[in-house]
Parts: sequence; structure tokens; C-alpha cells
Amino acid sequence: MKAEVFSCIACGAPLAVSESQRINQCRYCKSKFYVQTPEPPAMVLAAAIDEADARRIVEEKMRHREISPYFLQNAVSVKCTLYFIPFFEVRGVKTGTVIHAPGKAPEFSYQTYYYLEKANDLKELGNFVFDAALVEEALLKSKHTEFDPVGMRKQGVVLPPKNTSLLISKAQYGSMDDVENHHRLVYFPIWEVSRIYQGILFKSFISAVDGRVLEIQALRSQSRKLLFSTFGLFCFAILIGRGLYFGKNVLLPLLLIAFPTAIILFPYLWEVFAFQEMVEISGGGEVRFQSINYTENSFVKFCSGLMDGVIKFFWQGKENE
Amino acid sequence: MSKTGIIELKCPKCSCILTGPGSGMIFVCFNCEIGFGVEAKGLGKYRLVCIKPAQPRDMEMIYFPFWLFHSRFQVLPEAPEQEEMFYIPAFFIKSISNYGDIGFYYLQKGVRLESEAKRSLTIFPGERDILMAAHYPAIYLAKLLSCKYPARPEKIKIRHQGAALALIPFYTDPGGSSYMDSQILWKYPPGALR
Repeated sequence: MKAEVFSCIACGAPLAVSESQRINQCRYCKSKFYVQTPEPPAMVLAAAIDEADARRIVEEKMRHREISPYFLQNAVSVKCTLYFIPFFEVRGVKTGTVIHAPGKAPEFSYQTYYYLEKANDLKELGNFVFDAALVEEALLKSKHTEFDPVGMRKQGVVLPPKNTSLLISKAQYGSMDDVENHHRLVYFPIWEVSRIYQGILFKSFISAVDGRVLEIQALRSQSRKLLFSTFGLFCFAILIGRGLYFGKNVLLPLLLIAFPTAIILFPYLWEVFAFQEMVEISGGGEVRFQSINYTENSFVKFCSGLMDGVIKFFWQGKENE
Repeated sequence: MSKTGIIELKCPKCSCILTGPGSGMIFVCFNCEIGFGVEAKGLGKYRLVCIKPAQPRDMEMIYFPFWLFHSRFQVLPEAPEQEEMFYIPAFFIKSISNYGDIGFYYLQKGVRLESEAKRSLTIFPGERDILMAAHYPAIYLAKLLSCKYPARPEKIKIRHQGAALALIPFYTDPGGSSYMDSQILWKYPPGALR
């Protein structure tokens, strides 16, 4: 995205041209110029979703059974930023001979090839994974606008294309010969909606082209785990009760049912009181959980304080002795 | 092309600002009926031909640029020389194995296009320059003849007699959900044509 200054051929006024923008106009005499450059041309997919829509979509999608209702009520929406993500679009034509069936003579054929490659590692957006197939789909269905770096910067953040190691078509298509090969930069706009809860930032990403959810980050709901755990404890209590009542029969049911139940429930029980999970919901509905270093409620703080007090009490008691 | 340079988009004959989509490299002057293509040394000047729809429909039209070659070719050394008109798309078709090459179909079906005078049109951006397009008549012929014998484009002796820029109308519905060629009614989804 380099810019160079020329003199207008018509009126001599300074003419600042952006290399990614093919047509530039003189501000004074309105003459139009085509910029010939080795830089690939660029285009932008039109953003049809505004900030309010992006926030509304995120709120709607967060009404998911895996997301904590406390998070929904109390998380503070901090910012909503539009990012333009660059992709390299590679298009070309190759020729060669193709054997359509075994034993048949080879026939001459020509084919087009097309692929998209991410041009930025998206470190600014955290560990966000972006599928190029979405861009391809958007290119098929959505409208494009001309590349306007100044206007785009006013709207949001334009990520620079960093990855210049373009794939060579010959490497991908073996022995066929390249007739032509074109590269173009395609900018895909996405909304990043950030929410803060108990000092932790949760980011959600929405396609600004069609409002599709790319990823939602939120705190995981503990209600299902609590339900499982309560049921497990209830079963365990019944078994203990039965064991105490029937005396000799206590050992077998404990071994067969209670221990495996306890082992299965242990991680749930642990997490119920630890509250250390973030849920990530992708656009396809795939749910992933990720541990976060976070302690949520006053109950855990109370328990840990109580334990500290007890330890201190006994420790000091022993020291006094 | 190693350095950045600028080319003024002005008709050398009438000094009008050239018409053309911002993302393409093909421009026209409707006053003088001249088509321009961006080339290494500046703007190349070609005769402009606006094609009449062969199958009229009451639909919105967008004109797609094609490089029109009038060529003479000889497939085999002993064979007589033949003449043909080739319509080479100046735009890119994303996957010809899925959507087909409209330029090749015009050749295969022997379509003859009629021209008409036009003053103002919506033009689709064209990114294939004439030097690149000049390879395609031989490729089309090799593909067309490969059923009879294994022809290779480099073995076909071809001489381009003349070139022009043809604007061929395609129909599009208000939603822009597809483009339909006005000559043989071949359909393309919007993203298939770049």
C-alpha cells in the first residue's frame, strides 16, 4: 500500500497516487489517471453490516446454552472495531494434455485455477482462525467496492498484507504450463466486538459482509455441570445410605458404581467451584472450551478464605504449643 | 513493468475523459468509438464494436469486454489456410471446467455477432490485456480440434489480421444473482466472472 507523488500531466499540480488504487483523479483539474504498477490491484468486499447490527447479532448468538447468563447480564461491551483483512486472490490459466480414459489418446485441455491465501497472520486479532472459503463465498455472492485506503482507515483498521510469498501455480499444478497468472488483494471486512467481564477481555468476530458469526467468545455456563454434579452426589448419598443400612452390602455397590461415578464427576466438581472456562463458538456451531486463569464468585473466595483461616488457626495453635 | 507510472485517461482524438470501470484495464471513448487497453507503453487504441443482443429480453444489461481477433490459421502444414473470428473474454472466468468458456462456445457454435451504435453503457471490468488474449485463439483451436487429432497451440500456425474491442451485452436481474449472455443465453453466477 505504497503512495507516490507525481505531477498531473494535464495541469502540473502534485498528484498523490495510491499503488493499490488503479484509477486516481487530480484534485484540481479532475483529470483521471491509470496507475501502472507492479503492486497487485486491490478490491474490498462491501460491508453491509453496521456497528449496531454487529452488536445485536453478537447478543443474539450469545443466548446459547453453553454461555453463562451472569456473563450476558454483567459483561460490559467495550468496543466494536471494523477490521479489513487482506487475502491474496490468485487466478490463472494453464494448458496441457489430459488422458480422459485409460487407453485413449491424450487430449489438449486448458483450465483455469483459482485460490485465496491469507495475506496477514492476524496476530492483532488473537488466535482467531479465518477460513478463506468464507471469502470465496462472499466474492461469489456479495458486492465489491473499490479500494480506498483513506476511507477504509476512517471506518476501521486496515491490516497490511505481510505474506508476500505467493504460491507458484506451477508448483500446485504439476506439469501443466501457465498461460497467465494474476494476483489481486481482496479485503474482507469483519467486526470485532469486545466485552469485558471481571477484568478479562472476550472477543467476538462477525462478518461485516453478511453478518455471519465467525467466532463468539464468552464465559461458560456452569448450570449443566452443576446439575450433573448434584445428581452424582445424590446417587452417591443413596449408595452410602444403602450401605449403612444393609451393613455388609456396602462394599460392592461402592466399588462398582460410586467410585467410577466419583471419578467421572471429579473434573466437573472441580470446575463447578473453579469457574475457569471460556467457551468459543465458531460460525459453524462448533463449541470449544478453553481454560482461563480466572476465579469468579464470592463463594470460591469465601471457601478459600475459610480454608486459609482454618490452616492459620491450627498452625498457630501448634506453634503456641 | 518495474516502476510505477501514470497514464492519463483521455481520448487522444477528442480529449474526452475515457469511460471504464475503476478496477479494470479497459476503457472506451464512445464519441470516437475507440476502445483502449492498458499496455506496457501506455494506452493501446482499438476499434470499438458494441454488439447487438441476438435474443432480446426486457432485462437490465451490462456489457462485457471481449478482444475480437480476425485471424487466419493453418492447422496442418499441408492444409489450406482458414479464416475465423475469435471472441476472447477480457475478463476472467473463475472455473471454466464448471462454468464453461463463453469465448470458446462462440467459436464452437459459430456465432456471428452483429454490431450497433451505442453512446453510453455499463461496462464490466476487464483485466486481460490484448497481448495475453492473443494466445487464446490458438488455445481455442487446439481444444476444438483435439478430438480429431492431438493438436498443440504452438503447432497451429496463426496470423492475426486485425483486433478490436467488442462489448457484448449480458443480461442481469435486479438482484444481480446471475449474468446471462445475450447471444446463446449461457448463464454465469455473479462471482464466476471477475
